[in-house]
Amino acid sequence: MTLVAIVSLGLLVALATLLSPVGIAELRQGREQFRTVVVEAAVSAGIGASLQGSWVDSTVGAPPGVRIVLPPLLVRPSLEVDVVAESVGRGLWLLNAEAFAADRSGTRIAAARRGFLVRVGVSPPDTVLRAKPIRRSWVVGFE
Amino acid sequence: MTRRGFSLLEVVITLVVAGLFSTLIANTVARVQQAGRSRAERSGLTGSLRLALGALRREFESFGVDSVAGADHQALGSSSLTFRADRGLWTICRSAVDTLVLNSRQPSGLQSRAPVPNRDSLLLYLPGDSATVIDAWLPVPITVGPIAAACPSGGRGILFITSLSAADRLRYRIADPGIARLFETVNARLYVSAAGPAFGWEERSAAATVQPVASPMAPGNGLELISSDRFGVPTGVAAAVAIFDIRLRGRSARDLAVGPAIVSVVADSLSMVVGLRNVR
Repeated sequence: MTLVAIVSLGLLVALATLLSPVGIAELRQGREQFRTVVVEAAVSAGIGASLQGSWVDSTVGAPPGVRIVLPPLLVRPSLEVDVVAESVGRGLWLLNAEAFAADRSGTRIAAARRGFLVRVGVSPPDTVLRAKPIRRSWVVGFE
Repeated sequence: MTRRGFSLLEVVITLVVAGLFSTLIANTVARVQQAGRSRAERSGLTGSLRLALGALRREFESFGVDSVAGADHQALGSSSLTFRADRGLWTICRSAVDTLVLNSRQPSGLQSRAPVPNRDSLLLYLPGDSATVIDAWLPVPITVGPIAAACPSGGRGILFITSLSAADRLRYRIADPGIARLFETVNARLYVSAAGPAFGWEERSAAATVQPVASPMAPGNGLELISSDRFGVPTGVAAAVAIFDIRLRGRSARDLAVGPAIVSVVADSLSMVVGLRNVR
């Protein structure tokens, strides 16, 4: 009986600690950090996957400012990566990727955005048009 | 005979027991409150360190190295670092000798800060020889601007006068349109604020100011940086650095105002390994 009382008391204290504002804040911080890691990994993976694709062939002769919306990459139902290729110079393209995680109601709960600069061209002896990263290719927006 | 009420002994025993219990409860409540405040203090400190680490990671990840601009991480120290802080990407719609017209319409989605003369510089992209594909970036300080201008396409532009020389323009075959990264040189270090040791960015421009990022920090070893090459071997050669090991230590000491002069000292540290994305 005494043991039951002690265990119950312990559980109550643990519950009270968990439900305290600090406990809730720590839980929330941990969950948000995990989501951030997931969407950041997804955005990098999305850019990697976008280096190849039919959009590369449609860049021929495109003037600066032209945008090509790539098909969205659905990692899983609640995690999507959208990539837009935008011409920023002669043969230079910015792959602008945004990954976002959504809850069951579809509300965005975490998002990450990154840019990746590539040069689209033919490098002899290769005869195929390819997108290749330039030096200092990763672009992070200013916050 | 029927006894009514309590005897003096009963009342005294009850009062003593009640007194003991209330002292015990009061002490427990005070201790729980103190523990709660310490925990809140630690949580706040950890949150502050986490935010600072996130800010450092964002800055460090974009560090790059090339043959013309050198390394973005310029002065390596174990407790401070001077670096080119990336402030966004702009497209150049036209240029002439030392003037550059940036396209007002920035690449979609990625925010950039507006350039500030004598504080910011641009890294102009040099495509290099298409056969060898050795590309690089040229650092060019901004001296005058912004001045409203027009782009050849008819769109709005912003004109800046830079220190770009005609010789460099010829040497590096700078042609428009092109791209430029906006950056400012900052120094990440510990400094002494009114509230004690703090961590922040010091702008290296003429009007140098320190922007606070995290506080309170542990005096002396609040910021610790270890730079390593791609194999994880510690190095002080900026061009060889591919990984930064960052450790932030926070320490707060404040009066909890519970009981006579109870001072809570909360110390915590967080560390992170950052791979430089633009180093290859």
